[in-house]
Amino acid sequence: MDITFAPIEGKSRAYRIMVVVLGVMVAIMIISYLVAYLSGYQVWGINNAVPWGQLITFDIYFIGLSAGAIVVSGLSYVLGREEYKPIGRIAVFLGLLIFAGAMVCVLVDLGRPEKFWRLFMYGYLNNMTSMFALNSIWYGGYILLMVVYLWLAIENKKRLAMIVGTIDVLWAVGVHSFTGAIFGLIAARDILFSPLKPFEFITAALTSGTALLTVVVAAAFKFSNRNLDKKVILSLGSLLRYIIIVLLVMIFFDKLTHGYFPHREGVLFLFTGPYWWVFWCFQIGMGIVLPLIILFHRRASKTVKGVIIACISVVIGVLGERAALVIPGTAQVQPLYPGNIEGIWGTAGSFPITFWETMLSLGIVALVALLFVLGLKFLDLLPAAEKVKEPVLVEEASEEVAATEAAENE
Amino acid sequence: MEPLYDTRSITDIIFEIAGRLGGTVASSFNGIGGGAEGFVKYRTGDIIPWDELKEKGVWLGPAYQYGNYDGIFNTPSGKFEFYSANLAGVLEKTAGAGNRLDCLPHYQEVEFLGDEGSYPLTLLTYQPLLNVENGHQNYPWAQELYMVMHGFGWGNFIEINKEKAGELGIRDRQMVWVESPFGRIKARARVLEGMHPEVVCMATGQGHYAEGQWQKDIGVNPNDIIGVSYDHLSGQSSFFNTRVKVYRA
Amino acid sequence: MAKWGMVIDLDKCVGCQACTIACKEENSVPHGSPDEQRQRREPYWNRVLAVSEGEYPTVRVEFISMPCMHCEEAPCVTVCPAKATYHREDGIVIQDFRRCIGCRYCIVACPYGVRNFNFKDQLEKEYHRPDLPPNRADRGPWPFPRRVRGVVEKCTFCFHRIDKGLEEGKKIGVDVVPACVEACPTGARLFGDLEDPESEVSYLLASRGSFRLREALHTQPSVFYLHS
Repeated sequence: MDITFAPIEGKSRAYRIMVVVLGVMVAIMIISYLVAYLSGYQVWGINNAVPWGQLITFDIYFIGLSAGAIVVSGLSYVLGREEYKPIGRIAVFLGLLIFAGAMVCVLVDLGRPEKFWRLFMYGYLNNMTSMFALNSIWYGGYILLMVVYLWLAIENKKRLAMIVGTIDVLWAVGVHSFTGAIFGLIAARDILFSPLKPFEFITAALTSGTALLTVVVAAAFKFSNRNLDKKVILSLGSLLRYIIIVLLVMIFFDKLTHGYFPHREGVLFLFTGPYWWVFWCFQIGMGIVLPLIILFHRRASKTVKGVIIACISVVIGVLGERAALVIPGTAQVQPLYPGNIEGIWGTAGSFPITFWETMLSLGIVALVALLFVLGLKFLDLLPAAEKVKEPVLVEEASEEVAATEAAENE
Repeated sequence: MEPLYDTRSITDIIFEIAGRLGGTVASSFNGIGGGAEGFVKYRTGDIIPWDELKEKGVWLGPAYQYGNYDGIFNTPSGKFEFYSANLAGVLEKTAGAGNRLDCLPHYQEVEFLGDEGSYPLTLLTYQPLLNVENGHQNYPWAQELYMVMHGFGWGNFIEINKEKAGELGIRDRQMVWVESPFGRIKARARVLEGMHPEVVCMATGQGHYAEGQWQKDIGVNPNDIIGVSYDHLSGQSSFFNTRVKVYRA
Repeated sequence: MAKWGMVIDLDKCVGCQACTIACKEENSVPHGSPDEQRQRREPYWNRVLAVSEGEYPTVRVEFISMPCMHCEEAPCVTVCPAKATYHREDGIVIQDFRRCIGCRYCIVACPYGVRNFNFKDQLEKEYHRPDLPPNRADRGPWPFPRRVRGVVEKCTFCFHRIDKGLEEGKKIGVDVVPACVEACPTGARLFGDLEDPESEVSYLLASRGSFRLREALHTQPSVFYLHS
């Protein structure tokens, strides 16, 4: 059945307040960046021991979220599943916006951002053995594909959307795998070096993308008084738990290989070093253990609330996973010479959380959120509102539909 | 040669200041010439006549003949002496009666300042390479690599043996008080394997009182807490016999 | 074509750090402040590590002086997206400030940690050298006009000295050496052409046992250390 999509009205007071708050945060973001640009990057936490900080963490996090959202949108456009049709457009739009946020993150992180065009000089001024340069092909193509995909989705061209969507889903997997290759191919750093990194990245992207999409969709539908079939949320939740299990298996084998004798320093630093809490509390605790407990619980996994809590936990946990890669990965003391290296060269790197960098990263999140809520108002992304006043998620109707379908199948 | 303007030689100025200070300072400058020229005459009077010195400008003693020990043995007996009669003579004149066994080669127990019970560790002060010729204190390229063995700059540490630090409950890079019978200073601890357990070590050259851009508030000066003490036989100052105790700040 | 390499004799190195300071002076590398050193924001083109081994009373400390290793299979050259760092024909891994976009991927990839990100602009007055002609007074012998903020820099084996020496026909390794080699008081550092069998460095490498840092990564560094 065809759903008619329509923009939200966007006239309520809560909406306006949200736009204003987000706008203020975006202004703070611009000010933070100007402060950093004019006075130098020492106002951030980066240093020669930990050269990549919050911005690169958010960059790979956003790329992951975007890839995940696009793959979930494939459930609707590529596989043609009916129950995911209401959320298909939002998924693609979210994917596009979050990726734009990721590109902003990378751009502001460069020491000389005015030279970013060098990344696109393929072969001539570029070094194609570098993953950064290779990724500029992937990212450029990805943005184009997403724009075309979104346009086709809004214009309701089903068949073309399916073709472009398929290419985009596969391209998204490629994008994020090669983002993982940026880290996985660095032999110098024990924690980063692993052939599993691209796979870990894309699986973490699927978990976080699915989780974020679930949360955003539930919130968008609830606060704009639309009906969303409860089954959509629950089925995304049950999809999520299997992807989390795959991620757990990958992390387990990666750490087992790196933690096996004799060459264990990297894993020991990650598990017991100064940043142990990023790995254990965020990546494992909030990203894997808590969601699995909720999603496998008999009763909690059947309620929308339980699934939403599990999804929020995954969203925060995967951000912790990216941070557990970037920060301890580079903070670990390099084994330059056997023995105990004295002094500053033998101390693990430290990454302080600084005010301006935090404001900048939160500002970029706010920018993405602002563009999203504005998009809801000006584009046809949500199904048209029904006459029902209170936001009741339709349970009886779905039971009727299930009974009818069961009767038809006999 | 006449001095320029109304300047005077530094030796003359020192003699004048000593005379003006009076007391024991003035008395120690008595009878040694009274001025720059007088002092040179006093020192060289019995070696070379003044006019000959002025003409030649230098006095050379006789060249040493290898094996000619009579020329260099100045002992009263003319032989190699285990019991140093020269030292006995000097001690007789200056210290009066005393333990003449001191004139034999012997082991003299160090007189530590501070008793072993309250102050269990000995403080050793040393000059790292950049302090030997001085000049590092306001030179940031030097200050930033001051402690080479420890890989740190901009400061100095109280260096403690690792096992001893464990007994005292001190961790590496922790602030501690180093207290001697004469005072105490607050310093950062550096816990190492390469220290003797009974000794703590601190580099000099930091903790300046004066205001310099790159030396202000950097490190501590261990000379603030070491005592004034002399070796009784040779009269030289002892720097390394202050006992201290170290505890967490 | 020559292949420049450096040999550091650990037996002779006393850890005086003259090489570190001479390099800073030659290349106009800024000093830091106590805070910056603690936060690891100071640039060091040459660094001297003190490595201690053993327990009391059998403790041993060695000094390892590390310039950039100028690896033949340099990981930093592989990962630089803008080709700002590249391998010159004569073996020096050189850094082009104009191309560098400041992404700091090379700092992550370097196994020796010898690369530094430049956080600050050059303070004009700080390196004022009134003994030099006015156009060099703000940077000494350093070949570039000024230090650029936001790019990555590292040791260059004093390529400006080598290039000028080759132009003037001098013998590299004998008459013309990098600043750190010149400053070493014990003669622990030697520089020369690794492919020339007559050079001092080749002679030493053939006659004494040598090793390189982190050989297991197969980066083929050009800096050799002689056993102490």
